[in-house]
Amino acid sequence: MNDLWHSLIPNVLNKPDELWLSTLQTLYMLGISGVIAFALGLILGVALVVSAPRGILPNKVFFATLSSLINIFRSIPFVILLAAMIPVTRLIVGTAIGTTGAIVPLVAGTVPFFSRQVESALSSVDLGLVEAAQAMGSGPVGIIFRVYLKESIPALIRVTQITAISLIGLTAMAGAIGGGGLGDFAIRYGHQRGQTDVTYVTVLVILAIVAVIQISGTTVIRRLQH
Amino acid sequence: MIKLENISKTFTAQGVSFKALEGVSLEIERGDIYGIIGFSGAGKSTLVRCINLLERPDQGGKVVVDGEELTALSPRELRGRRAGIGMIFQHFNLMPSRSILDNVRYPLQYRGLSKPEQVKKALEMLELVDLGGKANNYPSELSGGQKQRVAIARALACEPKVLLSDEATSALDPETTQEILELLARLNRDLKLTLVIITHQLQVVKNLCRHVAVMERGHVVEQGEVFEVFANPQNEVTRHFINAASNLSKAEALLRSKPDWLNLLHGEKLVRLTYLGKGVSEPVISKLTTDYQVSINILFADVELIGGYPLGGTVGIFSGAPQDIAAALDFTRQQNIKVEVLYE
Ligand SMILES: Nc1ncnc2c1ncn2[C@@H]1O[C@H](COP(=O)(O)OP(=O)(O)O)[C@@H](O)[C@H]1O
Ligand SMILES: [Mg+2]
Repeated sequence: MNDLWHSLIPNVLNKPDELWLSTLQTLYMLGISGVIAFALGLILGVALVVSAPRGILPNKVFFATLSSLINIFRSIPFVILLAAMIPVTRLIVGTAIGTTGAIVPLVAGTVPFFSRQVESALSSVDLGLVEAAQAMGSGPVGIIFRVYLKESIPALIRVTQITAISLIGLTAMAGAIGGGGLGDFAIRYGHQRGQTDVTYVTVLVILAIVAVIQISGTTVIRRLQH
Repeated sequence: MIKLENISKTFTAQGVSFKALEGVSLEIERGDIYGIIGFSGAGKSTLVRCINLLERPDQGGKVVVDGEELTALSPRELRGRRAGIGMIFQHFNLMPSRSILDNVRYPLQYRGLSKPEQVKKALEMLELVDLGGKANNYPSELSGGQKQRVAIARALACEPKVLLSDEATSALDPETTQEILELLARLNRDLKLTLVIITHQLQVVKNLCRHVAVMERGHVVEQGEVFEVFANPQNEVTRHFINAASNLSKAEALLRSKPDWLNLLHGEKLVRLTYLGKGVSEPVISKLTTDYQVSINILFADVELIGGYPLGGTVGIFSGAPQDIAAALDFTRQQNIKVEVLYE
């Protein structure tokens, strides 16, 4: 049995600690930047819906400015963003390298995408519900929390899943330029030293992370549906 | 109870402004059932949304509800007052993610009640609309009529004095519509609730309302007691509305298109009788036959009770001696019935 494993994935088995460390680094980047991007994206998504022309606090200038900023950031390819963000990253977290240095560009690369996703999830809330809530005495805060966010929880979970999965892809890229993690691991051994088994095992680990995200999200959505 | 003074509303979209309401003034008595009828786009929804200021009227308009000028309140004060004005909608607008109980609890969460008190009140409201057993269901599990009853329970949870209804029965089948109208009538009677009913269905006004305003292109073109308005429509739109809904006019149109089908004999007259006033109670037609020796062959009749009085008319062929027919028609005219000879 042991012999079989040794012949299948020899290069993985001689550095299990490094595989484990890389996995933890990926989860760390995913977790920290995910939580920050989730919070920021949610705030910006809500801001977009609320200030839109048919929103509850319409504001043309604010909406147009925020909307175009998001579009600009979304159109910058992530690899370029990684390099361009270096000075900003230094300013914020004190270092531009390593796993921590990767957090800032990861957040910057995820928030624009996620805030658009949040905007579209919230926009599918029936305006009739907003009207009814206003008629019952809800103010802007009540409408944001008790109508928009509450009524779109399943949609928000769905877009969070999608964003988290695309964020895994970004962590692999960030890792390659010094962030560590599974992407870095696969490139260093699998690609640069031709240890193909490392590449395949890395892919399996990433697939496992994706599966966990997908299954947990879908389970929660199913629980919430009536 | 509700006083609207000089309400105008201008919408501006892409630089083009459009007056959805122009100088509308209305007064609605406490405990009344007030209908607002008009074709689609007439401005009915906009007007009713001005009552709870979901839509703010243009400068110069004044909204007074229960003695308080809402147009003078701050946004925060206004939100507090909205609890005293319930509202229901065509598409019910229940929150799909909340149970029926939680939907009804929604407005109560602004009332400073503890959770058990909210639940108790919400259950009471559900009993009031006969849906006590559905508290733990979700809106998607209910029929349209049941959803509207939940919406009514929710609108009444804060014990408002006024209920605004915007096309609340327009998405329901006739039977369910009747059910909801009966419920509204009961609430008006038992809770002394003032009802403002927007509709494009004439039937709703006929069955439920005591007063009515007819709207067209942002104006109230006619208003008054339902019977008076329908018996003597002064305005083109009102007449159009009533005629479009009346079977009598359909029958007439049929007759006009095929006059020879009638085959009138010499001296016979095709006559339409329209009941105009509240005084029509005598059995006029049988009296004509017995006292005037005129025989009447009724082709169509469409009489409805509106506000407890008959409104409508009869089309029939009168035959008999010419002087008898003339005398019979004179007598009929004196009974507050409009007589029109359509064909002879
Ligand atoms: N928010 C709005 N912006 C622009 N136009 C509107 C708005 N709301 C209503 N209108 C216009 O005002 C007119 C009256 O609408 P509404 O009050 O909904 O009519 P009704 O309820 O009688 O069908 C319509 O022509 C409609 O297009
Ligand atoms: Mg309408």
